[in-house]
Amino acid sequence: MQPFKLFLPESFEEAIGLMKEHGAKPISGGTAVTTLIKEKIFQPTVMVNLRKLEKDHAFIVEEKGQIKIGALTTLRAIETSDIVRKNHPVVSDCLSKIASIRIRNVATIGGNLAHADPDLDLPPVLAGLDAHIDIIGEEGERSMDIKEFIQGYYETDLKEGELIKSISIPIIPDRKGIYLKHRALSEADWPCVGVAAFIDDSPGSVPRVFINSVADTPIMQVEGVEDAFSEGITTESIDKVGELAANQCEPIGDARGSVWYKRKMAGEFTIRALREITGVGDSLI
Amino acid sequence: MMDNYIEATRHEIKFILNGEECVIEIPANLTLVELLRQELRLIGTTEGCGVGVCGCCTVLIDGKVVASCLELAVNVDGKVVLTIEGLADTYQDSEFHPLQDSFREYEGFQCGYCTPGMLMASKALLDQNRDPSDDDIREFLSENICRCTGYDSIIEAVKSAAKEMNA
Repeated sequence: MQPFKLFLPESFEEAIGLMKEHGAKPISGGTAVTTLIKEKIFQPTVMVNLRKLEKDHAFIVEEKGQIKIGALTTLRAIETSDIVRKNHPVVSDCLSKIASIRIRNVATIGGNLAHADPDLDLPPVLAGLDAHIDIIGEEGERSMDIKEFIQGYYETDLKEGELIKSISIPIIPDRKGIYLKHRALSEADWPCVGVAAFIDDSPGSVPRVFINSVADTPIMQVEGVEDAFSEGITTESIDKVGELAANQCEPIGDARGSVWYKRKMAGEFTIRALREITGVGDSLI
Repeated sequence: MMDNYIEATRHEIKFILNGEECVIEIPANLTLVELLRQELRLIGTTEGCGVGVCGCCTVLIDGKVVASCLELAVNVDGKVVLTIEGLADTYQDSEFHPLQDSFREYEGFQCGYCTPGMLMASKALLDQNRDPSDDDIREFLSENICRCTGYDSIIEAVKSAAKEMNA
């Protein structure tokens, strides 16, 4: 790996100061950043290593009707957390499908979300649960919905000198969700298409569908779902939403499939996910 | 041209390696597998893909499986690291760990390149589950790749080691 200068702060304040002073990018679990450096896609001269913050910022707590997760918490810790599994099994399930255990033992949720790779598994699931990203910077702290936080291709709302401090996921007992990950290559691979669908157990609730890997962000929300379901949820209207998903996505063709294939899969997995959470039609999974 | 050359910062780290304290000064851009193989000459840990996919370089940090090719060596400061060289010492007074014995008995390797990673991942599995089913083993080892593809014998070996350790 190319040489770089590395700072090891012990608090967010110190980290933010160092990032500002040196124009440095942060590195957390490093499973993505290290790969990018090795492949010479990212060539940093100086970096701020957040790992020592895990002392205070690797935690999962249930408070005020939400699950709060510290930014330095590893994906594996969240996946195996009883608090998470009890309230949102869809999150545990989604995490269990990411890469391998040895990657999830190191990768952190803060790093994962700040990376904003369009292929990320977790954002569509967190979007369906209305999760908020808590951000800390020089000016203080702010919080925003994950759907606004991730803005584009590897792009977030984080300003220079800002870091993710924690993630807040509301506990919504009557919300049912599913995440279907379609892999075209190996089990540990990024998704070819990943579909997250959610519905509330209340009269008139309309499902919402979020898809990764088919747009410039990992959260593509299918639009027009309400209209499609205006006459009720039937296998026909679910097929219609599948069609909407296929038409609205803008995938790029790569080793995981052509544009045609990915569109087809986005539609198909939308139908499967919707059948599963609504209980309408036979299960296709 | 040399004006652009960045020198890596150097860091002193202190950690427990295979049961013994290790203090060493290393550059920031050194990965854990490089620290083990190049600086400490512990060449049992092998590096395969170098991007965290193949599982060859698996070591245990605080008892958890980690890809040592992606972990910066500075991050093991204050941690407990176990590599294949220290595996046997974790089990009673025997020369080899039951996993090593059973991998040999069941021929759970062919060329042997993936074996250190397989053994360390198996050790982590047995530490948390002393009676794993075939599915448990398959799932836990699913991302450790063996290109000689002797997977069945590896699963038999892990099962046999579990039995031996429970006896």
